[in-house]
Amino acid sequence: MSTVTPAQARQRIAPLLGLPAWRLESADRVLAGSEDAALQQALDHLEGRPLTDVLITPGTLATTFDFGGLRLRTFPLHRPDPDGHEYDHWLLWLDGSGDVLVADSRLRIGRDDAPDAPGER
Amino acid sequence: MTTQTDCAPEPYPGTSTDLPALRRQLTVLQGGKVTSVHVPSESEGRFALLLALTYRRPNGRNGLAYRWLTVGSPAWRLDLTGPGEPVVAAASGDAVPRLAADLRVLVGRQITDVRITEPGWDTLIEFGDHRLTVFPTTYHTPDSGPDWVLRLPSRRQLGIGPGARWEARG
Repeated sequence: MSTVTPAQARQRIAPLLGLPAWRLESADRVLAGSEDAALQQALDHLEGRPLTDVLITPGTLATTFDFGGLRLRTFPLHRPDPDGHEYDHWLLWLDGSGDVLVADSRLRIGRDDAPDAPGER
Repeated sequence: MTTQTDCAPEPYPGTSTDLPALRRQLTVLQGGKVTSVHVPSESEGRFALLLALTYRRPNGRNGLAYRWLTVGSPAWRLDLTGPGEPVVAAASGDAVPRLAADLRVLVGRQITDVRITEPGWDTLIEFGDHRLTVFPTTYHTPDSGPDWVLRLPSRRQLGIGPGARWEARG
């Protein structure tokens, strides 16, 4: 896999999968958090909305996916492991390219022929 | 004609959403010094800081109280901040032995700022060049515990969360 910059990541957008801790917010309220029970109902708010922006904080890779005003915020909850264990923070399948963007302890791009499941690798 | 319908039941009775009032209560944290860190063996990311807090007594004199700040949220992160990119120094998903060692970097540090952001009520506690952020992830689930708890010098207990609410007890 090759390293990509947050700016490059923002240029290419497609559905995402797998988030350990997250929150779905509008401008003035929280629709759901990842520990809430009725998640599907909250996530229905995203149905049909385009992904309009991706903001990635360098260093921590805390990420905000903006769906036309609804923000899906993700919270990385692992320190990079000196022993090399990686934890996928999120995966983003890119539009028709066959590439998948992976955020773990860094931001990488690779082929999606055998993408890792989100979680510990 | 106006039609009235019953409101949805409040899942967290007795709690407040008055954020300015909470911010006033939290000013006691300013300058607080971490004296020790406790990470339970069955932590699942939870931990507590023992703080030395300076406060104003009713007689106008300053007092010193040792009080626990307990983080119960499953989502928090300690970042090393500075002129460059922030670096994760510890996080709730880390294994306990490592978590305890990483959190000890806070011992001896003083709290330089406390903020709560809207709408999600993230709590950001600055310890100089380290920032502890608690991320609430429960908003609509009854019987959930607070994201973090602070025992005040008055011995009243503040519970912040779950989500965008707080309560004082005692």
